[in-house]
Amino acid sequence: MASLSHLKPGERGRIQVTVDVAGKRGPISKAVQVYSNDAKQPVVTLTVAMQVKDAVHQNLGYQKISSPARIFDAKCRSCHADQGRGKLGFDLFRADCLMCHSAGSGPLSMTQMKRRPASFLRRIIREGSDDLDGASQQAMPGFAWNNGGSLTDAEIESLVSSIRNP
Amino acid sequence: MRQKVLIVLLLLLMTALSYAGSPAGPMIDFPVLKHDLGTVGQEDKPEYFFRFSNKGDQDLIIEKVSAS
Repeated sequence: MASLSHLKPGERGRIQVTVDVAGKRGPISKAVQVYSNDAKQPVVTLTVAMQVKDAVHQNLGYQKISSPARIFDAKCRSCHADQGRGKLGFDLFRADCLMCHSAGSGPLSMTQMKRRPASFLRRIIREGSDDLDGASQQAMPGFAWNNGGSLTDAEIESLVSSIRNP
Repeated sequence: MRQKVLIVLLLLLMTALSYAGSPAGPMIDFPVLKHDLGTVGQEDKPEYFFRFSNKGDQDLIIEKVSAS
């Protein structure tokens, strides 16, 4: 990220901060720590802030989403639930889960979920959650077929095992 | 007595000098620490370059840059 990592006295450099905002909305800020051999300031924190405009949902007329289970509605499922059709395991995760569960966004990332017991993962995927231990700010709908979701038991099992043993 | 005063003055001068010469070592300087990119779209790839310089008198080494 640093264009020059070794600067003589008086030399200049720059540090590029790129933010992945796909699937995000509202106010976002990203902090980056710069570690150097400056004894007085060994760590400097740089922050980039922005407002992410959610054009996709605005164009569809969805300003406020009343319930997370709306992703299984006819208009929404082509992006949120149908991408993973016929897929299993990590491919399914990438198609249906990653848009929310990417590293750095509110919901737990795959690495964070790996430490949770299989029974916990299975239950949350099946039934959803309002707010997992206060860690996320977004609710998750139940993905099980018989809870109005899009996934069969076999598909859910394939997710659990690929999260646990990536 | 006069000699003692001189020694004390000399000591004071040395302390002052060591402070005055204080960019001893590297010194990282970012004029901007926080930047607001305004409104961006979800399809954008927002990026920003933070400029910095070494205002010290020895080589500055960036050891690591990590995102939190």
